Amino acid sequence: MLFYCFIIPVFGQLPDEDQKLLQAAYEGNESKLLQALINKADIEAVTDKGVSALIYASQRGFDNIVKILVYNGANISHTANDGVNAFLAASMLNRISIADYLLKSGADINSVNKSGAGALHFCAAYNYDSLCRFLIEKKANPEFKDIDGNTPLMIAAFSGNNTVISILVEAKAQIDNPDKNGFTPLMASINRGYLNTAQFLIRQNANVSAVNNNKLNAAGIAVLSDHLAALPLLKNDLKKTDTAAIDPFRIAYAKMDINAVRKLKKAGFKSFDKVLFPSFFTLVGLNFNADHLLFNFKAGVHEVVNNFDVFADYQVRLFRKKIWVNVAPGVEYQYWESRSFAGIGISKDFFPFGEKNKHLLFLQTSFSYSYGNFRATYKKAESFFVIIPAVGLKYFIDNSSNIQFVLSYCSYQPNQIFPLHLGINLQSYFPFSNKKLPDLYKLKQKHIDWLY
Amino acid sequence: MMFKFVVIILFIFLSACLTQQVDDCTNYDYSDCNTLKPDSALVTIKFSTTKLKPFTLLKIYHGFAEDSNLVISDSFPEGILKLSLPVNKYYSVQAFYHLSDTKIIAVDGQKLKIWKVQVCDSICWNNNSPVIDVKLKR
Repeated sequence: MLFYCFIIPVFGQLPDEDQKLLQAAYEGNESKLLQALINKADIEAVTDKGVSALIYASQRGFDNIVKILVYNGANISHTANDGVNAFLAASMLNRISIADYLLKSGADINSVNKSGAGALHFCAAYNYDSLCRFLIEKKANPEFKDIDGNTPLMIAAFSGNNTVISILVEAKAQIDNPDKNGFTPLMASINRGYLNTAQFLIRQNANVSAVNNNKLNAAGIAVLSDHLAALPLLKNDLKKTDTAAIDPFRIAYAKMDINAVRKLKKAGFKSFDKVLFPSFFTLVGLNFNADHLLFNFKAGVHEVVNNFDVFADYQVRLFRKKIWVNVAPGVEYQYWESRSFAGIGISKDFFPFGEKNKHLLFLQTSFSYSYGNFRATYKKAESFFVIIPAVGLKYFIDNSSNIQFVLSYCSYQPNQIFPLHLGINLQSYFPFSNKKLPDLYKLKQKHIDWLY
Repeated sequence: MMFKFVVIILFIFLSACLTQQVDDCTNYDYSDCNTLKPDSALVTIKFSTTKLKPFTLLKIYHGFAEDSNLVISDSFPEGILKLSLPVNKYYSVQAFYHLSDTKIIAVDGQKLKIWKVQVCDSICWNNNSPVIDVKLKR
């Protein structure tokens, strides 16, 4: 907190009467304060943080103490070590009556602390709408920027304070006034996930196509900061999208965030890269039942809008299995059989638990060619085509990989291998792009040093 | 580049497999080390027997049974048989069973392989001790 130094008063090695004065201002004790003044306490005495009695009284909301101190010649312009004066101290804690009194007594309405933040910045940060209205009426400058170039509107957008935003907009604050890094208030609100604020700013004609110094537009920031719910708010203005901005899809690819790619597509965004299937995937796992164990490898592409996979898969039995082969009536051969399945298939994801849930269901079917051989003979094992339907549950470990639990039905060699198989697989998506992906570490997110 | 990397890794891995690392060469126990290249080694054959039929007919071939290079054909008791056979050959076994009216011929085979491993200054010969399983499946 900016005003941390006010919370616990530290009076240091001050003369007794000065200490009593500061203590009285801090506690709001009028008689003690008056007694200290009678005893010639220094009205300009300060703590080791540079906090004066007037700053204490202003910040703590003691109107009478403030008036006594000002009447007795306290310096209204005095600032503590962090640049906060009595007027800013009152504004920080929404003390309107004191702020009003100090302004009437000559305080500067546009005074700022060492971070360049003024009273309007504070009311924007802490949603003091009445104070904000009061300051606007008193002609505070709504375009005043702190040392990082943040206007009060930027601070309000960053903090999601819609009431203050509407007051500032009414006061003709520039809706797209950027900070030093080129972030606009809309970008700041999306970066922080304040969707109502973003919606409000867009209704006020905020520019959704603006690009910051890192070449990020609002959509790119939504993807970067994982606030994907903002994407549908931006879709209607796609035509305005400035191609100088980094393609939000590439940010999603760089994050390997298949969910972001899906949300971008669903929101109607078009990738500059024109990739039909934006992600490739591989899967490894085991399928098994009481009869045998199969190693499973699968590779394919994932279509994000309709959530389906098209894949080629290969399964191989890990240990040979004794199989009986009837060669004539009353004569059976028992062989050690190896077996593989090679096929193609399709899988579709469903979201019965909600799209944000990490679990999802999928249905899958594959058309496979199965072949094998026997040990110690020239005879070949039976080859055949088989359709293998399956149902399963995916659990996403992160944005690009999941663990699957699958129940599949593969009917072959009647009575020798049980048809139902359980499977456990690890699937990893690799979003691809035909262009160089951005370095995520170089893409800054919105941050305000003096706030919080 | 990737291919070269894989080849180098494989080479290192195989080199490590074929050279047995021994810390103390002077006191190493060479009793398990066969320094002469063997002409034959043991092949284990597992088969099924029952109380009613305690002997099972086994036919042992060089190569596959279809090649008809019969080595041994005899009935054996006790369910396990260890034979010393010439090395570096493939052996297949047929075991003959009768279950009610059905004749079952269980088939299996393995190659008897030998290789050398360097231990300090000596070369020891090992084999894969193949187990041919012609037990009836349950």
